[in-house]
Amino acid sequence: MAYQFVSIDPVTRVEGEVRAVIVIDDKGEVKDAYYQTLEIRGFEAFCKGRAVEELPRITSAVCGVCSWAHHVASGKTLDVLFGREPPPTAKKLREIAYFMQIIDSHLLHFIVMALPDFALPNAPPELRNIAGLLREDPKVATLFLKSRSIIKDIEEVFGGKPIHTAFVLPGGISRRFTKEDIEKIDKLTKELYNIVDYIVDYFNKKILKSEIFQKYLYDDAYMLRTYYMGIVGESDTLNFYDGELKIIDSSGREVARFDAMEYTKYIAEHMTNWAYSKFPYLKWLGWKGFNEEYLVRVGPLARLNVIDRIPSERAQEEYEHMVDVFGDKPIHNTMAYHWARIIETLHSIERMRDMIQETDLLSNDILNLEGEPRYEGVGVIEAPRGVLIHHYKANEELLATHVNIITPTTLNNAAINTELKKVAKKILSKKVINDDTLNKLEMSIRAYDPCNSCATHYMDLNGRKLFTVLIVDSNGHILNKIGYKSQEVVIGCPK
Amino acid sequence: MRVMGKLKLAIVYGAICGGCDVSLVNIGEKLANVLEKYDIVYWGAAIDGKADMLERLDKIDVAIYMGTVRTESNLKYAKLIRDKADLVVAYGACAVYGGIPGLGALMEPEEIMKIVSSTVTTESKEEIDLPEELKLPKILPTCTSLVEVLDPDVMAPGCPPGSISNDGLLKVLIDYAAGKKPEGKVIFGEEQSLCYECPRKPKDLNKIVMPGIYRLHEIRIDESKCFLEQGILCMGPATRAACEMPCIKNNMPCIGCMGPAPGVDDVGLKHLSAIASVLLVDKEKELLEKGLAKHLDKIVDPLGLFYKYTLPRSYLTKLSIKRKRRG
Repeated sequence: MAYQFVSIDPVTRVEGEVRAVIVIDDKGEVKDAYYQTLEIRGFEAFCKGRAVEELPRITSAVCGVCSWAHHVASGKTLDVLFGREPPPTAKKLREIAYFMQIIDSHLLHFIVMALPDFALPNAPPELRNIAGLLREDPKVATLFLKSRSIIKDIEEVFGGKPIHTAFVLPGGISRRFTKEDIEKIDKLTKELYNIVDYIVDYFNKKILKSEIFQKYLYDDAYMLRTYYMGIVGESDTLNFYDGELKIIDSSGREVARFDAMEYTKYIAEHMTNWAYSKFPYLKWLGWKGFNEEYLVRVGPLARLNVIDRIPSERAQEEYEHMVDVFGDKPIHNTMAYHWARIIETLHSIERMRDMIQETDLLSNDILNLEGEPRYEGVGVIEAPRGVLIHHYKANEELLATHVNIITPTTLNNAAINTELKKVAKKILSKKVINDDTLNKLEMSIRAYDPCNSCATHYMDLNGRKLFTVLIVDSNGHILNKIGYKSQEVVIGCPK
Repeated sequence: MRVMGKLKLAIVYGAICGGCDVSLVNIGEKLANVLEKYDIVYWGAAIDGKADMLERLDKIDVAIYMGTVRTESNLKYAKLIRDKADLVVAYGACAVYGGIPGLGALMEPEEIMKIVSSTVTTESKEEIDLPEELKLPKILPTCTSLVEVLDPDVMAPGCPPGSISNDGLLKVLIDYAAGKKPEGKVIFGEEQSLCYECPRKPKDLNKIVMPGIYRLHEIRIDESKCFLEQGILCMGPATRAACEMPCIKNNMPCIGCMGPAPGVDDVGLKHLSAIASVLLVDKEKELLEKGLAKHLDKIVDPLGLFYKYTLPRSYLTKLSIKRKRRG
């Protein structure tokens, strides 16, 4: 049988080098879909042999968009490995800094990556971006641009560098905070609160109720009935920084609850030769392929599915409203990831605003040097995109002997692949392929917010998209070109 | 729509983390001045298909490369931009020196894959026959910086580049648009080491005494005193001053992301000699009795400490590659 390979290369608005390849049979039916990560740097290999205390500043480079998530997760891993509980002030400051990471990443994704699809559905592709937003809705776009400098300034107070920061140490943080530091963060947080407030209101009034968002929200193709995993704080409240891991099944029943150190009993990974990224799965179920009912998802929607309550006033109200709208949990609608991201952004700024008022932030007690090393540590955190696991083992010299890092985009890898196939079947089978259909494929991927939204931000300022569509026959002759300008997707035939 | 008279700017990736992108985006409004003069014709990671688009362009005016060169695909793009672009910018520690992923420079692809596929949670493996369309780009025998592959005109160091590099880059881009191409090779930053700018500078830079060597987790670091004088290894003496010392201000020692200071070929060798000359120099008796080596034993991971961002360009890597070539 002859197959056609429709390749979106690169998939835009995602982290690193990613390609989506859809295999179409000679009847025009979608046979398979692959979301392929093409990049490998080998952190787990070259982190071996490193002095463990250096790992927070090494592993932060796994991702420049959520570098704080890796930096803090690495620090938490070292707390355990060195047997050092950080003093309350250090823990609080880590947590406040970490709320900043959530807001940073969530806003960047919502405005730059997600919003153009919903706010400008009828705009020509070259204007379906932040530049188009500046034209159509200058207030929301301008406020977003303003938020970038506020966020950068706050991150600099915490970590020196806003990206690949120098902040955590095993058992605490690197320096004491001054009154001026706290006052500066407080002032900037208040400014940021007003921007978030506007964006939440904008989402509720203009996006949530829009016909297009509603259409995708309830579209069966953009829906997976899966397991969900997330960290839960005390009494199953939303907590990004600390807590137990909880897994629920697709009916909402709790099927596992465990401490980070036990994660290997519950999570295992599958590896293939067609992607450099692995495919984590629930260990007791075994690897069952890209089969919806065995998959687990993480991230904003998964978090809101596993928790019972959000410990901040306004975000809790929004959360209750969301659950009311769907009538029940878990919510399986992938587009609700966007909604969940907005609610989490509101929660984060509410908590930042309150926590920065706490009285003990100026304490000199920011680093605990006591403790008995146990030479192994696991640190789990809710990164903006979901559960992030760091696991190190060390020898007597405290050199790393084993490093395992499971990122949220990896945890969602199987789900992204499965949904891509589902959407491809619906929109590509026996259909004409054009920019619009391909963008619908990408919308499914974008809902999961794989990292690197920044790339698109820059491009969009210039009003360009990143790929072209070519239809190529088996001899490599170009039969047709779809799209415009620099847009490129290669549709080839097998040899 | 390409506006007449605008220049073509392409931004191409090697193996990246995305931090360089965010750093560029954080430039904010000033970026608009660049966009007035330039048309961004390409941005984004590229494998096979994507090369077609760049290949079709006769000429690119400026190409910015981010990331380490780790796979065949990274290499292909590096070469492509050298062929097409009039001005090539290596942006970020990975492109200039190899960066953090450069720590894998001494590892063969098989070794990397062996370790990556044997982590505690990797329990299921599958290899299928793949059609060409689905094959992954091959991992190179070593990991290199862009500088090792081609000869960039402009180098913006930093992980990621900070405002000194970014301001420098904006100026180069605006000047170039005005017809002023930089003369010779440009690297942003000062022509001296970080120590000369450090606020913790001891009274006499030539009289630093290290009281021994301590690891980061072993002591409470004084927030105002020179790190070396506290026994903490700081890369300042061997590192180019091209940042505003964010790490040092945050009470963390420099780890060298701006690359070697001017005149320093190999950061590790330079740093070792610097340490040897300041370590316990006031306690000669102790040194004679215990020996310098005993103290240097505290440097448990010299490779990760001295070459955190520069391993692909070290003598060590060059020697290892030579040896492999000889078989």
